[in-house]
Amino acid sequence: MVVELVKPLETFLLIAVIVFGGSFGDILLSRGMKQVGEVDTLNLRALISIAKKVITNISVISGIACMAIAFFSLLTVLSWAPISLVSPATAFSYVVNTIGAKYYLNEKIDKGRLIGTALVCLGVVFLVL
Amino acid sequence: MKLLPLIVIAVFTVSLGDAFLTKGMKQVALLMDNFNLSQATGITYYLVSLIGSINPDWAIYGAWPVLTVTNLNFLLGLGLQTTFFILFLTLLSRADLSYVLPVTSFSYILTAILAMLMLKEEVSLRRWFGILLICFGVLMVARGESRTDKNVLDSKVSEGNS
Repeated sequence: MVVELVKPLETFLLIAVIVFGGSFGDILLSRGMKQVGEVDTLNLRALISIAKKVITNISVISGIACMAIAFFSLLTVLSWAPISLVSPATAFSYVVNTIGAKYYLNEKIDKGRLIGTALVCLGVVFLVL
Repeated sequence: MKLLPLIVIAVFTVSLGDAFLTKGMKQVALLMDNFNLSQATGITYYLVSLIGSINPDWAIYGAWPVLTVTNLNFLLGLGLQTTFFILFLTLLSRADLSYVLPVTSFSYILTAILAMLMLKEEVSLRRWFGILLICFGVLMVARGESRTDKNVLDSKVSEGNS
């Protein structure tokens, strides 16, 4: 049983945009929110001042922009591609996140995580073949 | 609420949300294939002609977003995805990311089942194998999630700050 894929090139391009947009969005948002600081008050005036900091933080704005681009790409690709391909293929973001964590955040990647990343890669290959 | 029912609801919400979004977008694509303003009705006609009244060339480009946001399946999918996001944040406040991530990755399996039932998608044996491999992979990636010293992360963030 071979499932033919319409517009394969566009599909892979848009999945790449979803994966990278989502990952960059995650990284930028978490960086921005850490710059703003923990929300530990219920005082209205303090909350308003935090909200002002959040919506003017350049990392938060770019993070939201990345996520918006990823979401619109998802909507576009779903108009022709099967969801049973697109949804698991977005798990490729774990691979991007692992590489990002290693080189951008200097996290140590242990063996289990490396094997997991390789499994996700292999799984995505099986999806699209 | 206990953790397990919350996880089950979250997995169902995101899978159903994906399925409804897909259903909606496929319907929009079908409608766009032979879109004709004179045959449009109701709010679609009103909104597209409003865009067209600014510039007639924009009408055809305006049809896509208008058809999307007025599609009931799309709105249902969007609502479910929003609900999932709130549930995901709730889960994160109660459990470790290294626990929440692998359990929500089971949604890939449920999404494939729903795609077969609701969208009549054909899921080949090879694709099932890929989905299972990805679930195992996520399970192993998430196991080592919280091992990095928090101080390393903090110093990186303050570097980005300056």
